[in-house]
Amino acid sequence: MNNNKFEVLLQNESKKLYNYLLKILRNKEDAEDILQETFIAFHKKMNSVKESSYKSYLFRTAYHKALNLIKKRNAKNKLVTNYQEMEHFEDKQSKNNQQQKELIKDALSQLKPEEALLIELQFYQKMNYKQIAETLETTQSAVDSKLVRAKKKLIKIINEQKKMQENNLSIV
Amino acid sequence: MKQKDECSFEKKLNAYIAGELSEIEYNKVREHISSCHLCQNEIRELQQVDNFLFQYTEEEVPAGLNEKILNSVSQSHTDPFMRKVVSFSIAASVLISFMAGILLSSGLYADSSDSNITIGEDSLYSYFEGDYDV
Ligand SMILES: [Zn+2]
Repeated sequence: MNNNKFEVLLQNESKKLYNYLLKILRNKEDAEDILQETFIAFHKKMNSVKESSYKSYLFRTAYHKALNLIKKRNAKNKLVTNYQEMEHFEDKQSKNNQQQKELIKDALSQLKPEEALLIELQFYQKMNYKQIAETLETTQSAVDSKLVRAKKKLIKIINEQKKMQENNLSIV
Repeated sequence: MKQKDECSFEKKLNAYIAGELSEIEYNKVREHISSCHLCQNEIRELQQVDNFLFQYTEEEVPAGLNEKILNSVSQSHTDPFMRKVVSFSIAASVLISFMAGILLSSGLYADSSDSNITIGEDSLYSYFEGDYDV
């Protein structure tokens, strides 16, 4: 039955998709909304999607929906800051984790959305080039060169973050 | 003036780390790296990115969200046409009971006294104004 399949998929994939959306949207409410929209859209199309492509389809849908939201946000020029969220974390360990997470989100949101998706699929979803190429409907060599470009950008961003942190420390 | 040295192997390094090269290519690159400082530096930087990204710890999906999704999906399970039919018939039956109410209050009691009609109209009016909880 389709609905059982859907339920299993929801249990298996919603956490991964939710975390992907958190990384690029940097806002819990938006991540929840897009996650919901993604699964509802998937459910409507489920019959016409190959089972082996379910995950690709979900990520592609989430990506497009998130992209639309980011465009709308940019149009409104609304800046999203999540610093209040960090205040909820009292003990040092989780505060460090949270800070590290914010740095990662910050870095990924400086990439083009397509580059962030590539990084997501390779690093966090452990997809190989072939699977990523299928998800993005492109070639493996394009995946490789785009990933290299994304990583070079990340190297720069990480180095800038380090400089900023050092500057902050020297001020205090 | 070209400042940065480049190595022809550089483009293959990401695929090398990711394990995306064939065995023959992999061995070629590995052999090259052992004697190329440029590629050694490049690999170090790429691995730095990996280490950075892997520090992300996943968050749980907010409680109840999966259930919410399941609910909205099972609600939309009836096909759109049937949903329209159902909502139309609900709207129609509400309208019919209103019409019946007007007919009852104005028709049945029309002859008994004028005040009854006024009460009937009043209550209908205040219904639309939202004075009553539905
Ligand atoms: Zn080299």
